[in-house]
Formats: sequence, C-alpha cells, structure tokens
Amino acid sequence: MGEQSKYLPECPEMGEVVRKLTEEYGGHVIFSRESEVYVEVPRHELRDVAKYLYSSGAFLKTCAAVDERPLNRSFALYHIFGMDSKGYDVIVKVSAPEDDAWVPSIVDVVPAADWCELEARDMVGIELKGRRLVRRLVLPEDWPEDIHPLRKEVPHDFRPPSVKAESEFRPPERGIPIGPYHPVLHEPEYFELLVEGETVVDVYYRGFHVHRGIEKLGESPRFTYQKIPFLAERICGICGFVHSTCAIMAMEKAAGLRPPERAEFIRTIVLELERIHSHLLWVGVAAHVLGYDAGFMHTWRVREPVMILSELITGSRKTYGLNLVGGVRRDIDKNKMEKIMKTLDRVEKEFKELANLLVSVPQIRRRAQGTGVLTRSEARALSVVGPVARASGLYRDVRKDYPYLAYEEASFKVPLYTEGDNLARVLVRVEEVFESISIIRQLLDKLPGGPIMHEKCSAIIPVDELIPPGKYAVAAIEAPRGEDVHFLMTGEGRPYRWRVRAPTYQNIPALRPMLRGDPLADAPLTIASIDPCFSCTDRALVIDVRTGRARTIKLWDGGVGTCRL
Amino acid sequence: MMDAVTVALLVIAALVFPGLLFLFVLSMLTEWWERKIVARAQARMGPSYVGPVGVLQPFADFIKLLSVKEEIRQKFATPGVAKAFAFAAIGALSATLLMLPLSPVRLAASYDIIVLSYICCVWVPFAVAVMGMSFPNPFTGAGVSRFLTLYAVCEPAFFAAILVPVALTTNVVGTPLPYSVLFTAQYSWKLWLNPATAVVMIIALGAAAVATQAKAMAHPFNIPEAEQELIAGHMTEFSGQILALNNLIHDADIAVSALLITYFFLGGPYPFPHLSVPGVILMIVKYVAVVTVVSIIKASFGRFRIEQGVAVLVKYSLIPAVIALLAAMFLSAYPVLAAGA
Repeated sequence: MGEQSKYLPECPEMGEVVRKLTEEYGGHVIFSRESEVYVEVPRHELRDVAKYLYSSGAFLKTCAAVDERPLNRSFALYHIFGMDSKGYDVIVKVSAPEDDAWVPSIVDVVPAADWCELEARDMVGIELKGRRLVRRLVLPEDWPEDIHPLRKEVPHDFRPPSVKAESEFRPPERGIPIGPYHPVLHEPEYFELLVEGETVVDVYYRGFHVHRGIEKLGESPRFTYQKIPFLAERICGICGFVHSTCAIMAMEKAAGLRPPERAEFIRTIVLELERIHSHLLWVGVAAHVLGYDAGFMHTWRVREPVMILSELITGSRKTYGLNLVGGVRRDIDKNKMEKIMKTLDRVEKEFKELANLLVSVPQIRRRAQGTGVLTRSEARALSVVGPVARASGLYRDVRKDYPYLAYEEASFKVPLYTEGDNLARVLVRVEEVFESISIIRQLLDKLPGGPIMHEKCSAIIPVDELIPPGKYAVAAIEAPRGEDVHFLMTGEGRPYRWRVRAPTYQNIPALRPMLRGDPLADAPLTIASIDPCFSCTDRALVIDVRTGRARTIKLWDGGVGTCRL
Repeated sequence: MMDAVTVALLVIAALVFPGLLFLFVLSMLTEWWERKIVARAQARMGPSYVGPVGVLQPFADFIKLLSVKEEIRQKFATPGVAKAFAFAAIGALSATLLMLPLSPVRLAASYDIIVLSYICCVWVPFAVAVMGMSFPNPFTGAGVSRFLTLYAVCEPAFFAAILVPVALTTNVVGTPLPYSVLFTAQYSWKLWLNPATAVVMIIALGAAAVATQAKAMAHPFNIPEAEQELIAGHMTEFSGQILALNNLIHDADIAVSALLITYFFLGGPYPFPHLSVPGVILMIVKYVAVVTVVSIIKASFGRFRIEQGVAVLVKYSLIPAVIALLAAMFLSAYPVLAAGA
C-alpha cells in the first residue's frame, strides 16, 4: 500500500480503482508510475476484475504474455486496460506456474481480448480456460504443437521442420477469394467472401503471411536498446515512425529520462506529417477501390510533396532513421521551416479542392453511405481504435486522452461522426488531414530552442546502463490508423519482453459486423475502410458473418476448429 | 447471281475495307485515343513510347499478346470454344460495317436493321459470355453473371434508341427501302432539320450515349470486370491470344457503336460525300467526338454497384429510348405532324 500513496494525490480516481483491485479482488501493486499502475491479481479473480474494469469505462488495449520462468518459474499475462476518459492505464497481471500454465479467458466479458489471448497461447503456450473456441491465430498450420516461439529456450533464429503438408489446410474455396494476392490488397492476406447472389453471407479471413518475429528479434542478442528504434520502424511500411517513437517512449519511460523539448516537437511534427501522407495514401486507395481511378491518381499527386518534405526532414523519403533514445538525429532549421510551411500551404489548398470533389462524386457517396456500418456498441465491445472508432461515435484519440510529446502545445479538433459507415470513415480521415496541417503549423511557430539530444545520450553512447532491468513501461501513440501500443519489460541491455500492438490488430475483428449482409461490390471498400496494415498486424482469423440462413462453417479440417466469433 | 467482280469486291470489302483490316486499325486507334484522354484526365501521360505520341502502343500490345505471351490454360478450360466464339464476334462486328455507307460494296435490304441488331447486339455479347465461361472460375462466374445482367438492359436500350432514326427516316423523310441501315445512315441528317423529329432524336441520342457507355463497359459501368472486386471479372483467366482477341472485340465493339452513333444520329459526312475532304474531316471529327465523350465520362466516374448500374441504365437509357421510339412511331403514323412543324 505504500507504493499506492505515491500517485494517490495526483490521480485520486486511479487510487479508487487500485483500492478496489487490492481490497476486493486480493491484488497487489507491483509497480506504478504517474499514469500507469501494475496490479497482480490471483488468476481466479481475473474475470471479475476484467468485468469490473470494462464496465467502468476501460478499453482493452491488448494483453502481453511473458515467459517469466527464468525469473520466478511462472508464465505471466499482462492485460493492459486503458482508462481513456481518465488518462491512465491499469495493467492487470496474472501468473501461471510453469507446471500448470493456464489463465482464465476473459473473451466473453471483454470481446476485445480475443486475438491477444490466442496470440498468448500460440507464442508463449499459456492455455486458456473457459474459452469455447480455441484455435491457432499467429502460428502457421504446419508449426509443431509444442514449440512456442516466445519462450526463452527457443532461439531467435530457430526454424522448426514443417510437420504437416500445406495442402491439408486449404480453405474450402466456395466463395469469391480475395487474396493472398489481389489488386485491392497491397499486402498478402486471404479473404474468402461467401456470397448469395450479390450479398456477402460469410467471410473467411486468414492472415499472418508476413510474420517476421520482430518481437523475438528485439529480445535477441543482436539488438540493443539504441538499435531497436530502427527495427521498430521496419514493422510498418507507412507509419514506421510511429513504431519507433512508441518503442522509444517506452524505453525513455523505463529509463526515467525525458528528451529535450525541441526533440519532442520535432517528433510530433514528423508524426503528424506521417498522418498526412498516410491518410492521403488511403483516400487515394479508397477512390481506387470504388473504381474512381482519376481520384486515386490526383490524391497521390497531391501527396507527393509530403513525401519530399519527409526526405527534407528525415533524410529519407519515408519518415525513417530519425529517432534515437533521448532525442532525434536531425534538426529543423529556418530554411527547412520555410519549405515546410510553403509545402503545407500547397497541399492544403490542393487537397481541399480534391476532397470537396471526391465526397461530392455521386458514385462515391452512394457507395460509401450506409455500407460497412459499425455501430457504437459493437465498436465499444471490440475496443476499436483510431478513425474507425471516431467514425462510430467513440471519442478516442490518444493525443487527447493521454497527451504525449508536444500535443498539449497545439490546439486541434478530433473529428467525430456517429454514422459508423464507410463515408464517415472517409470524412474522419479527410478532416484529420487538415487538423494535422494545422498542428504542424502551430508547432513550427512555437518550436523551442535548445539541443535535440538528451545530454546523457547520443547515437554512439550505449544507453543500456540508463535503462535498468526489471522495469515496466507502456507507451501509446495515435498512429494514422489508431492507437499503437508498445509494452516493455526491461532486461539486461535489451528488452526482456517487447510487445507491439498495432492499430489494425484491434480493428480487423470489427470487419465481421461491418461486412454482414453488405453487397459484394462494397466488401472491398469496407475491408479497405479500416485502413488495414497487415505487416503491422500479421494475424490470422476466421470471421463468420451470418445472416438468418446461416451455416456452420468448418475451416481447415484437422488443424483449426469451427470458428465463430 | 453475282458476277466475279462483285464477289471479288465483296471479299475485299469484308477482309480489307471496311471489313476486318479497317476495323482492326480503327479499333486500335480508338483504344489509343481513349487511353490518351483518360490519362490526361488523371494527370498521366498515357501511351508515349511506341510510334509518334504512342499511337502504335495498342498495336504493339496486340502483337505481343498474340505472338509472344504464353496462353495459360487451367484444368477446366476449353480455349478452343473461346477462340471460336471470339472469331464469331469479330466476324459479326466486321460484317456490320458492310451495311454502312462507308463500304464500297453497299449491302442493303428492307428491314435489314433486324440483321444488324441480331449480329451486333446478340452475337457479340453472347460470344463474350461464352468466352468467359470457357474458363470456369469463381471470378469469371460472377463476372459473366454481372455482364449478362448489364447487357440484358443496355442492348435493348441501344437497339430501341437506334430504331428511332430508322423509323423516322423511313416514314418521315422517306427512303428507297424501308427500315434499312444503309438508307438510314444516308438520310438521318435530315431529321435534325425538322423541329419535331429533332426533339425525338435528342432523346434517342442521349439514350444511345448512355447505352454505349455500358456496352463499352467503361466507368461507371465497368461492373463486370470490376478489378477491385473480381480481379477482371469474366476476363480473369484470359491470357495470350485469347486476351488479345478479347481486347480486340472490346475495342471493335466501341468502334462500331461509335460509328453507328456517328451515322444514325450525327449524320456521318453528310451533306458532303464520303470521298471529299470536308466529308472525311466531318466524319473523323464526329467519330472522335463520340469516343472522347465516352473517355471523359470514363475518367470522371467511379463504379456503380450492379443494381445501381442497372437502375441508371433503365432510368436514363431504356425508358428514354422507349419514349423516343413511341414518339417516333407516332410521328411515323402521322407524318403530316412532322411536315407541318
């Protein structure tokens, strides 16, 4: 209880939650920081704790399974609950002894926990009790049953032999296949739409074709804290800066150091630049999906100067290679500032014209309006993030809920729509582009002087001694696609466990209610409307969308059971 | 009985001008123009490398597909059937041109508009559908089903629209043979001189333009080949020679439709003769204008859903075409009304 008193004066409501968890559910605080508290609860209480937290306004950010056998001979599962409206995280830990490795499933009380529970089972080998449908999510079908890659005894470069022939797992091929290679999908994954006439009845989804084991690699001896940002950037091909910043924020939290203000401003500016180019890319893709190729070509023409700006600021066409623990590597001088301002003026003007045109093209309006609807309650249950949540009337934005970097220095609006359809998601993103332009302008105006690197850090000084082992940190960033979460447990010179939860991971399960009963022609738009990023997500799932004439769906006989979400 | 010279002329007309060879060249040039216009609208350059301003690019594409590219066959495919029907469609489209005043050997008969609609509006879609189904696959199945749905509306609309100038020319202007393609093409320009018939012609022209957009499967009616939903719809499994033939049919269909509109609605080269400088220029300008309009619409629209597409076709093509046809029948029954106006 002594640890509790440290934050009680700052955030009384957090104290209330902790008191409840410790006194009523028998938990104890293992670690705490200004906006995070880590509480370990007995595993038989987990479901009640989850029910209590989820009903008191928390969203589930994700859960992270950790093999803690070298430390305390047990496995652990950390459920990260975000109290968005209050601005703090409650991380609930449950332990499972190594010879009795199970935790209770909370998927029936917190539907958003579906994927991360299955991932914990695949990657660390924690069994889920009380869960009706258990299937493989992350690992391929021919992966051996008893090998869990994130267990500490498995080397990071381990390649197991294939245990089953690939052909056994062919999907039934009864519907319209989309993927793994398809004009709409820019990354490999597989959807199969079962249609009756032109109406989508069922959807199979199989992803995870591009899993690269980045979390495991981050724990391997090949990486140190200062190299991890460069690895984190490779998680995504579009929003890499988000991942490097998020990883760095977690490390800086663990080290207890704050980068210079100027560095925070520069990071924020690049984050917003990334949002602009990512949203412009998406608007173009959405027009292309609707067959409006002229819109696609022109959006990308408007986007091009933003890419040139990225090169100006970071030195590469993409926003990569700028971030280090403790600061950034390149400064923004007067000359660059002028160029940024000029380019933003041009992009704003051209995109305004284009956006007005795009949303008034009757084909786009007619096809986007009322299709792919995600209601507010469905969005809440699945804890969806980003523009998908904001289009369904959920006011969720990490920049406002958990202000980080320099966002408190800028005033901006969070676009909110309640329709929950494809058009609402288009409009949210279009408005966000203009908000981002305004944020960059404000921050450039206010850009403080001073160094861009913390005095204790540099590109060549190892930061390992700054980050002590045994610390926890959760960092979240509002990526273009929504909330990106990095969970860090520090080890000796490198992370003990580094868990990345990209926004698309949280949003794909929402495709089930969106696609139900929609016309086939709009299914690609609906899939595209969550702005899926599969290299970030790397997941596999079966979605069963049913109408009244539903069927039982058996997928990949032998390996994966009948799945219904 | 035809003498040897007539037979020779007919063979030349069928194979060279205005038959197969001319149709091929015209289709390729039409494709090039369409690609250039669409590219311009999308801030791109379009074909640029082969020939002056890329004009030979469609020829190069065709030859490449025909002679270099491998023909990929899947287990259930029957490429022979697909090719046979492709030739039938190309033959049907070439034969259409012999009925127009363009041809040195002019074939004309009473009521030969029925022959035209049979070979042009029935054979071509039928052949394309059979070609698609020769390569069974979920995409081709869905594509052909959409294709037939769309054509079930747009072909009757197109036929009804072109029947308007045919009926009016026969009954109001007066032609040597009734309901003949050749004489309609020669005399339809006179319909614009008469206010009563001109109004009906405007309605029919609008209906024909919308139907042509759908026949060309250009945006917003590219529903059967919707790339983002069905990869390439009924054409998904086409490759090599069959793809080349399919593309030729597609371009030739646009070319023939544009020619029919040019003659039936826009009056062709008249009042100048075909073999005069102003006649040729007028003819080319009108033809290019029709193709340009199709291309601009293609570049400025997204894609309809199938039910939206059919609804738009019914609303803006089939119903106006039928109304115009009824008005034309009325004017035909009482030509005195048109004469009085």
